[in-house]
Amino acid sequence: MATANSNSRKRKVFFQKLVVNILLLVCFAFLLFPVFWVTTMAFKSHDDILTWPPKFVFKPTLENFQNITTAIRTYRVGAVSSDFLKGFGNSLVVTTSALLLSLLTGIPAAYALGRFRFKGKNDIAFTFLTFRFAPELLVIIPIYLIFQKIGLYDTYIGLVWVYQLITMPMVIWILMSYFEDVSVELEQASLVDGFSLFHTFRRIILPLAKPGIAAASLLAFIYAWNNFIFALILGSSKVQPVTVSALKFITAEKLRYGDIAAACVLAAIPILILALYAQRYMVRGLSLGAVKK
Amino acid sequence: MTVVAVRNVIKSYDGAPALNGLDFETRDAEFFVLLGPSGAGKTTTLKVIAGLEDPDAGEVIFDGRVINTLPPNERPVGMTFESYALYPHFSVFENLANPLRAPGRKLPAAEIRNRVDKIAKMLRIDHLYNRRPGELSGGQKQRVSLGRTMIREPAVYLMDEPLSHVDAKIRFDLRIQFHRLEALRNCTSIYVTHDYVEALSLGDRIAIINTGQIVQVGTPKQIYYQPKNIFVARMVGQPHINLLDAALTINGNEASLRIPQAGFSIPISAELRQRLEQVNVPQDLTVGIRPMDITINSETEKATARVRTDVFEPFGSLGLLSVKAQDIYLELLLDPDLSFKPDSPVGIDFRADRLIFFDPATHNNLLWDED
Repeated sequence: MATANSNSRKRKVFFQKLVVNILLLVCFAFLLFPVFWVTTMAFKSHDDILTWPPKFVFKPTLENFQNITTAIRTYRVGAVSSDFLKGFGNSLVVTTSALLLSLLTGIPAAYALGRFRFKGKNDIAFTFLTFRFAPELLVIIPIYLIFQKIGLYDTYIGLVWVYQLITMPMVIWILMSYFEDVSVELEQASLVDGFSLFHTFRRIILPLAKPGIAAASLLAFIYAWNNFIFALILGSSKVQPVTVSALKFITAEKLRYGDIAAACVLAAIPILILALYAQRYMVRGLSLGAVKK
Repeated sequence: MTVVAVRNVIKSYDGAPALNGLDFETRDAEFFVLLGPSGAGKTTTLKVIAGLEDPDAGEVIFDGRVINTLPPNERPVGMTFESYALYPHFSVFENLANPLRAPGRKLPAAEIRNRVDKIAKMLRIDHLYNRRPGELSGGQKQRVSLGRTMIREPAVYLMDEPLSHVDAKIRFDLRIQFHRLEALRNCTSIYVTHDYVEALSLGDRIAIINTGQIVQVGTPKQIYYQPKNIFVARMVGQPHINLLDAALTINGNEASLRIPQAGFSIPISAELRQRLEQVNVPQDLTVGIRPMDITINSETEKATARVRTDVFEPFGSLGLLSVKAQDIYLELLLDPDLSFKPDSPVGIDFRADRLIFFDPATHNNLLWDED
């Protein structure tokens, strides 16, 4: 009896696991297939991309990468500057600056919101959050007009500034909970030890919030890097980031699918590197922030 | 060598009062214990003295100087926290050395090393230097926390429930160690606890605190034998003091306390009667008697009261007997080697000189005076 029971239970558990794993595989395939397909496209020749039925086995080529990394190419119809590398550089400059600015101002703000009680605290915190969930299209036209007037259109400063709408709420909201979780008594112990509040912040609080800073930076960087609409409307050739410069591959001659795919692959690399580097902080960080000890 | 005075301090958090006119003064180099139930305002008191919380009103005075506006890092205090508050990202050594690295100290590395070594050896934590606080036991954490406080050589020690989170055996060891630490003996220390054993053991004087006010200040003996009111009497002593509703009965020259619920009377001496009459005691009283001041009379017939045994718990070093006297239970502390059958008759006597008389309405000790 007992053996039969345990056997049937084992079988039940086995089938449950099987179903769960199959479902997970389906989700996984569904989510990752586009990434896989774009990556293969980047290595296909134009003809291979357009064939039907789609080819899974093909002769890889680096032609697309050469196309987009050569600064100026002459096509049959006129000369088109792809500017991909410049866009890549712009992305790096704008996103990194925006993130640094957000950290510089957002860390003290998050600390104040997380630690001190003051009038209107919740309103202020919520206002920062609204920046994140208000659609960009809602504000883009007024911002465009203002930027035109005050001369910020198509400047790095202008883009970095408007990117604060993306990065700042992220930094503030993630770090707020981290600062809340750092015990007040640690801070008080350091004050009694003879340190000023500023020293305490630097020596005790910041190091303890490091995982949170890593997590917030990574997320903010990704969102800022992926931004399209602000950069499209508020910047022109001078400051265009990689997301916008990929548009150039839609030429009068043809849709340059291979170039677009190659651009996507290259553009994803900085984020991948950053994610791999920050991953250990991320996983630990996000769970630490969520669960109070 | 500092006298700490707290004058009429009021502090509330979001409208909830924590301190209601708290007022006391330590003596120089005194071990001063603040004893009170949780929520009485003990921790808040320490934080106000350390400058970590600003009082809404009142003054904190060190040696006659009001220091309300002095920031915590400029006050000559060291504080241990109930949560230990060790820096989790620092090693034990760095935790200990931290106060010596404060700006304006600028001590050479060798000097820091020496001072840390000295304290760590004294507290027997010098083998733990490279550990992180997360890898320490509760007792070790407590000693590191104490070491970090001592290394600064503050003029005033503030200690917040240092022994409440360590297990019983370590608590005992550490309590003995507190007695031996010269630094604590030679400086003014304010020690917060909810455990009356720690208070009686360590305190030169004890202040009983409740709802943000000092109820009574006195030596351990005064607190134990002359509690100002029922609250203080119940705060110290385990098992709790026996409290009985009594009526003072005078019959010619004989005076006695009739305990209606228990069905017996306790005779009192002429002298005690006189003292009670001097303060105009009401006829109805609440009488307190500590479990150790009730004794068994082997000649049951001659005993003050005849009661029935209920439960006897022999604890090794002491025995706790609960007896039933008509409608109420009394607790007695006895020799653990005795043995009792449940529900058997037994005679008990009371040490009349140890009786404490309370006003049932105000709960105040009727015979209490300042000294």
